[in-house]
Amino acid sequence: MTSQEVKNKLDGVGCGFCLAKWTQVTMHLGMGMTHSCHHPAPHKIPEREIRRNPSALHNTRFKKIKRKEMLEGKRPDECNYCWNVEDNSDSFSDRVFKSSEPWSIGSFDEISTSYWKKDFNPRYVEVSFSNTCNFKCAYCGPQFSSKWVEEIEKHGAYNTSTQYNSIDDLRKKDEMPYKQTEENPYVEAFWEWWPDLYKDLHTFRITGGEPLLSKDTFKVLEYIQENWEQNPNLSLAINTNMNVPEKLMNRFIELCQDLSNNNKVRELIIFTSVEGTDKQAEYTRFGLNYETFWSNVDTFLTELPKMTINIMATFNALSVFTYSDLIDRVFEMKKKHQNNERYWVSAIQLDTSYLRWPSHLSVKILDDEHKELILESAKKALYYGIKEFKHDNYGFSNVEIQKIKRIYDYAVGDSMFSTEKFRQDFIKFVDEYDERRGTNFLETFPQLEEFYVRNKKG
Amino acid sequence: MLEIRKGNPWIFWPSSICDTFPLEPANKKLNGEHSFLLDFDFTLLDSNEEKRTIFSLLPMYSGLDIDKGCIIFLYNDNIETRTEVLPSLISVNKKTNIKVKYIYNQTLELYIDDKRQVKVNFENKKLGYDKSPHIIFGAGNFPKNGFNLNYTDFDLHEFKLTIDDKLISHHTFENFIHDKSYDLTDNCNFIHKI
Repeated sequence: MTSQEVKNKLDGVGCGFCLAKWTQVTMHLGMGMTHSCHHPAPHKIPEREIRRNPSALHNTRFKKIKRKEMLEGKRPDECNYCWNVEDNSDSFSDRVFKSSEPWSIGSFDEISTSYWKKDFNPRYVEVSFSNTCNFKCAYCGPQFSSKWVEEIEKHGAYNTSTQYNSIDDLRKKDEMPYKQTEENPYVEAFWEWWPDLYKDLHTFRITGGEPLLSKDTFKVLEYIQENWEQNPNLSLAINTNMNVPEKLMNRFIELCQDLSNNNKVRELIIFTSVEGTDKQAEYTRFGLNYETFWSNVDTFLTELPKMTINIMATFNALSVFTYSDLIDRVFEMKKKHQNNERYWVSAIQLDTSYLRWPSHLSVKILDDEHKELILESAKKALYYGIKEFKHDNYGFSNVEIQKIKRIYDYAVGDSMFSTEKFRQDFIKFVDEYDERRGTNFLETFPQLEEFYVRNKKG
Repeated sequence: MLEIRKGNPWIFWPSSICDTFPLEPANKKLNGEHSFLLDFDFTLLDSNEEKRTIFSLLPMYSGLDIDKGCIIFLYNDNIETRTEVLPSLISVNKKTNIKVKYIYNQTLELYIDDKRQVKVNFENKKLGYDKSPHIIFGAGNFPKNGFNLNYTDFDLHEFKLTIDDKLISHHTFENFIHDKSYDLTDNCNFIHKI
């Protein structure tokens, strides 16, 4: 079915009708929040709702009212990401693309004729059990990292113009993440719902925090290990920072081997992150041991010949000097682990996105000469490129290359970015970061010494 | 030096990897609407009498073949592929320089070792083109197509492509990255293995 045909079909129900409001969910259980799809802001799940019905982790009353609006031909305000696309361009919005997905379109008849109050088991589920993490990456925050919570509780927000990573708002809105030691009713509701949810899943992805530090991640894997016959076609994805204690890593690999080698899932993909190399990567992803990261990646790809690792790189101002070296390292791994068995052809993929928030770490704060280094990285990836993305060759795909080039376009493109303001914030941030964490910015990034001195003077 | 050997031609087609980067790949400028100078040095190693292709500009065929001791210069003017037959001016094991000079809406010329051998009037005509032109060295077609291959052996020493008087691709074949020859102009207009 073409995108236009899907759009016509959706519009036949209502101009705001989108299957993803039923079929897809992202649940932040550590904060008790949910949203469908990922574009609308997450909303709080009332505890009274999950006490009565654990599927209210997805089927909240709030969400059901949005579904009602969709079935009655209205466009819910929270979905304005798509309305902006539809009203201001000729492009199809994610409403069409997400509804077209194999995990959505098959449920069209059931959903379009359903009563708005009816519960629906989603097909594409992302879940974060908690914010427990052993990292506190420079661009992350308390919602996603318990280490960040500890730091902010001890030292307060950073003294930038944005009061970076203040937790006052989270407290006001009752969105402070549960501590790992606390009982979390949302996680309890998840386990109550899980046996019923599992059999209907197309894709299940565990995010964090660091998922391997959560016992619930292992519980999911062990459940699938025992009950896979109920859903042998599951696509399973798990995030990890590749830097957890060896015992946990070994247990994780052992479980993944069983699921993958014995076809207990349709596919298994691991998502991880890194945006530079060596000390510079360790500075930004605080908690990272760079060589341990690669050693674990190498072990995974060796022990799991069907699996692919996707590096989600959040390209930021501190990535420019070593991203080119990272490309070399990824290429080495692509070459070393190329085989004919991988689910996704390539052993490892570099998926580069630009960081927009916090603005003081955006590549837009950089001088032009530094931005040119991004283009050099894109050129290197192009030389490592392959024309045909097939099992019998290896290299960077067209998409991987384009996404690096896009960072350069973003860096040099015109926008309403307050460069001077965010450069000042950057200086305040790294000064305070060094003081709190015992790091040394200028020693780690000598290439930015002149930039630092100039902007420190203001 | 790039060793072109039978069955293993190389290709100048930088836009084949990523169609949007580099922004203006040099191969796309070989579309008949820009003047260009294709300049390369090579040493022919193959002395057999069968038809052999030094280079072919595709998909609208222009190129240089050697056949039974003669040199055949082919060019497409958007009507058909035409030929100019020349005596043997390329010796085995001797470095030879080839220049193909196209001046938009004026002329197309072939030089061998700096002596002009062919001059064709291109007023009100354009060299044949398609949306993504490319040059194959050492074959007249892609090996997978299985016809008009005319493989040969030669060493390519240097390659320069100037478009509208600007050098936009230069190779001396000293650096190779992942089966691609490094473009010394830094424009990423590489030559790669097929």
